[in-house]
Amino acid sequence: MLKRMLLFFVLLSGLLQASQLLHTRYESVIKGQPLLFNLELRDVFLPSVDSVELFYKGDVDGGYTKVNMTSTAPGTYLLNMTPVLNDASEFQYYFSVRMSNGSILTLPEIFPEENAFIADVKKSESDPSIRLLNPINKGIINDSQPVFLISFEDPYDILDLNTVSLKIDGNDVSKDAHVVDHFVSYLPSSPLSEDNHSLEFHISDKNGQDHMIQSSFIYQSKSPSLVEWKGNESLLIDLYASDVSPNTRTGSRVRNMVEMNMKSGFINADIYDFRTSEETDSLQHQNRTRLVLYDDHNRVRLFLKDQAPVYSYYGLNGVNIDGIGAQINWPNLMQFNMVEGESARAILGDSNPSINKNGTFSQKVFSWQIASKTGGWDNAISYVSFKDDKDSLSLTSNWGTSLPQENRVLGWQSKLNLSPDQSTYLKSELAGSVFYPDISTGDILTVPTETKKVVPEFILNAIPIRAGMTAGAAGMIEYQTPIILKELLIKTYGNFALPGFKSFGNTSIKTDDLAGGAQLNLNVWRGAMSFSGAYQKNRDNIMNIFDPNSSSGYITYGDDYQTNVNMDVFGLAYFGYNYSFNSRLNNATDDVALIDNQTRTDLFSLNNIQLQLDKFKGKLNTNFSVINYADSIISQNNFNQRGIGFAIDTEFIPIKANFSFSNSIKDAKGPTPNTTVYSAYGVRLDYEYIPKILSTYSSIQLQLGLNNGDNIDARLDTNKTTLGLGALYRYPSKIGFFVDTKFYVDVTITTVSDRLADASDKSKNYTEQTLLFKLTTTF
Amino acid sequence: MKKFFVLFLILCFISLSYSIEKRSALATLTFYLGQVFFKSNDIGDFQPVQKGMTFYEGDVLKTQDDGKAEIFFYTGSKTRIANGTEIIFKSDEKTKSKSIFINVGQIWNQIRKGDKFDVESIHGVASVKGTEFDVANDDDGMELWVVEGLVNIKNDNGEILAEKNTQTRLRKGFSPNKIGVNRSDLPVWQNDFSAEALLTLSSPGQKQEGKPFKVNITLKDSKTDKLFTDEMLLSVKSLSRGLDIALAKDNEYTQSLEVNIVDGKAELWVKGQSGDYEINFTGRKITGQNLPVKIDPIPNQRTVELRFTGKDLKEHQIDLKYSLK
Repeated sequence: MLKRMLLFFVLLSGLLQASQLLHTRYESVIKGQPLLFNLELRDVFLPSVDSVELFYKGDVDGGYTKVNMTSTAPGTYLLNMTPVLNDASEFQYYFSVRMSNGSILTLPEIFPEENAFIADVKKSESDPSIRLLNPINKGIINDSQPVFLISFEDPYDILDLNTVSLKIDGNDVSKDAHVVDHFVSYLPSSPLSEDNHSLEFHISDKNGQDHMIQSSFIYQSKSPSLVEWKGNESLLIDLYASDVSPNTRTGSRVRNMVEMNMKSGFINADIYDFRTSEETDSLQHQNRTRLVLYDDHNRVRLFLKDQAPVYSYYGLNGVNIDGIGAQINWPNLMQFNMVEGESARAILGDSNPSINKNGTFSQKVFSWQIASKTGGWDNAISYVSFKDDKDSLSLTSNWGTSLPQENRVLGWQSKLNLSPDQSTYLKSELAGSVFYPDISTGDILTVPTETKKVVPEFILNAIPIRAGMTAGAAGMIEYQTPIILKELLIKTYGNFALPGFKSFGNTSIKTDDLAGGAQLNLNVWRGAMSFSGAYQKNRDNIMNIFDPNSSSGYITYGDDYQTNVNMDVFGLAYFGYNYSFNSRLNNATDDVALIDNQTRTDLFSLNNIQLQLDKFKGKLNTNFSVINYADSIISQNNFNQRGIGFAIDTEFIPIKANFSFSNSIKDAKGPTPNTTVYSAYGVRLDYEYIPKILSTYSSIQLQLGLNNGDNIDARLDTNKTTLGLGALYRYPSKIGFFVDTKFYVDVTITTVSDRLADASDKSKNYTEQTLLFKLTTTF
Repeated sequence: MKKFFVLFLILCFISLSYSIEKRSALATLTFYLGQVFFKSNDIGDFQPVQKGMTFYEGDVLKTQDDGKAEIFFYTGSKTRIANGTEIIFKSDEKTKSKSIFINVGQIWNQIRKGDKFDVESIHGVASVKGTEFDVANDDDGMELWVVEGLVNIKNDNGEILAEKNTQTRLRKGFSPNKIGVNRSDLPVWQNDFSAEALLTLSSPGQKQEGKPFKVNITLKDSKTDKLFTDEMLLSVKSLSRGLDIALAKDNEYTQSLEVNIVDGKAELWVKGQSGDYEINFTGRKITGQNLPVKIDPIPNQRTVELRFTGKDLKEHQIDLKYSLK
């Protein structure tokens, strides 16, 4: 009876999506002021996280800019950044988490580039509005003598037009710029070269505040051939030598990447090929070739080889697939996606794998999605089927303890927008799955007669009932609405997953938990100060309520709290207070606490303190942070940490110098308290030997770690000295049809010593050298 | 009397300030092809445009049958003007709105989000805030295609809201008539905005009053960077009296003429009185240019230094002075 009930649940339920990546989105940003991005990775296998990146752009920009985020606590990533927004009225951003197996998690989960978070770009009332009108940032122009055009609206007349500075490709052309009323324009006296070009515009207001626009664009005359093409090539050779023991790194690494775009009429083709000598025989392949065909308006896209699609969190998310795919897009109405091909499922975790083919089962993947937008109601229905190819490991003795499996997930995602600006919405997601743990036996069970009376035959044929088969469902619901003037937002949500739910598309789904919570966001002073709070109630292993042998409805339960207060002062100073508390108690053992920890992080930074004297420019950035972590269950993890850092950038053309210092003191509060001090000092000098053609750099960095506290195991006295030398040569003209050809050479020599270790211990006292060559060009 | 004079000066200052404020810059020309002219309140006649020039309230921009132009408003909105079009720039400082009055022809508008922008004709008004649309106007009426966003369209007989993928017709005596259209039926002329050839002008050497001098004209194919092999007719006009042009040195000199370029190269002869001048070159599918010309007066006195080494092995110098009679 229970199985039939679950089967019905599967048939009636749809997709999808839990909140694995958590982020409190920005509804608005203030131009020129720093933003603190926070991303929490929940239920992600953290050691496998390669990188966490933020992609952002303004609505007037051609492409996204990528910025790496920094891990500040397990599963928490922060980024304090002042984006260059030029003339944007909207700030668009999304997050990408790259895992070591090549898979990618994104937020938003589905088509993140197209569905990126959108925040309004605001300015303070007195701020002038300065816009780059022509050429657009990251655009391609075919006019060799474009009019460089910047406009400004200055309602309070605070701009000082005498301070206009315009640089094209680094050359100051301010004297030839034409300044009139709302415009600054410049017409180059000679045609531009067919190349990448840059623009930098500065104007100061009467308070001395600098307003800047940075932009780059490409001048490219049209190719006369029927087929137009452009692309870029990047080759990297990395030689490594070290006496470290054990040495797991290879002596040489070679990576080559070619990207090419071809266009004929309205048909476009993107070709991408990546080769690396680090390719291994296990897990998903790193070497990839991708070929995509699409029309000018992206209405139809055909993936002829290799793709890593993101349909939904539960269904198909970042799995690299060798095969074919298609997307058909009716803008703002409907979208259809389809993928069919092969992936790989690793079985390396077996105790005796005896692998003869990459340690994986080849896995057949078939997936489709239909998404629609009608009158503010967005819907998506997705289906994905994963099926191990048992013949890909023909000897069953090589399977170890693994068996060929099959998994099907059907989901329904819905978002009902209840206000024109989409600030009030109801989002629900449901997913159902069936899982066959062993398809090698293949015995289909006879369905009871009463089931045949209820379930149509075609469904029984589509989802045959086999021995060991499990079915499950997962879902979530979320409601958000502004309370006062869109500044005070409240968001409530809940999600759960039944024990039988399984999706190969995301292997880290928790199967049996119920969670619900609320978030409150408040922005005041036009976003200069923001408060946010979040509360989440958790009931784990909730399906125990159906277990007659269990004395409690759930095994663990607890609450999570989070409070954030952030304040920006004119983009110069930043204050942040962040507090989180997490608890889990064991319901079955008289509420014994399993998890009980709290983290408090205070941040303060001074940004962009600038000094300019004639040709000298200097900029200072500082930051100060205090982190307190208290864990009442595992008290040896408790610590207080204080960090301070500063970086000074100076420029005295043609020399640039960077000085940096950081220091962190961590007081471990365990049974044997001890203090660890990490310090880092760095100097880097850049010298432009031939302007725009040859530049060199040299750097030295010293990292020190010291702990002489009571805990013998934690004692530390290490230092690491890194010397870097490098040069960049840019070939000034075309080589055949290659332009903007750059050649990099980089030498790094590192010495690591540990005074507490034996001098012959090459795991702690060693040297290493790397020599890196890199060649990039566009065509 | 002195008081009256001071009062008069104050009034002049106020009126001058007012007129300056009223004539704030609205738009800048970023690109054009073929023959494009403008007329401002300060200049009575139509003059050839120049890349980067600024337009003010009341200015008129006119494209000939071979002309197209692109302008940016300071608010970030962009307008492209088709062949055979005449528009007038208008603005309202109080409402911060800008408008184009279209006498005849066709324009495509990409209006920045939040910008108040109107397109007017004798047949009606289209008001937008952040959208993309195309307007054609003639004696019979006005037609408007909406590519993105919403456009409010009204005339004396009614008002409608037109959404994307629609075509609305305005006719005298009728309320606006809106029909849905396929995306493929929307105008595409605005996408063809690239020059076929690049014009290079050179005139080395010093120019002297009354002496003809040569201007070398070169046309290069913008795609191949080689000489432009197709035939092209270039319109050349001296922008000031006192400077004349001719196709050959001994031909009759005139204020304007046409040069037929066959193999990418041609020459032009120029003669004039002393002063600073400009010669305007325009042609179909190219961006025109103004060539600045500076002509020096004939010197009425000249000094020649003569240096020689004598038998005494010393250097000697004789200054010779010539005067024009």
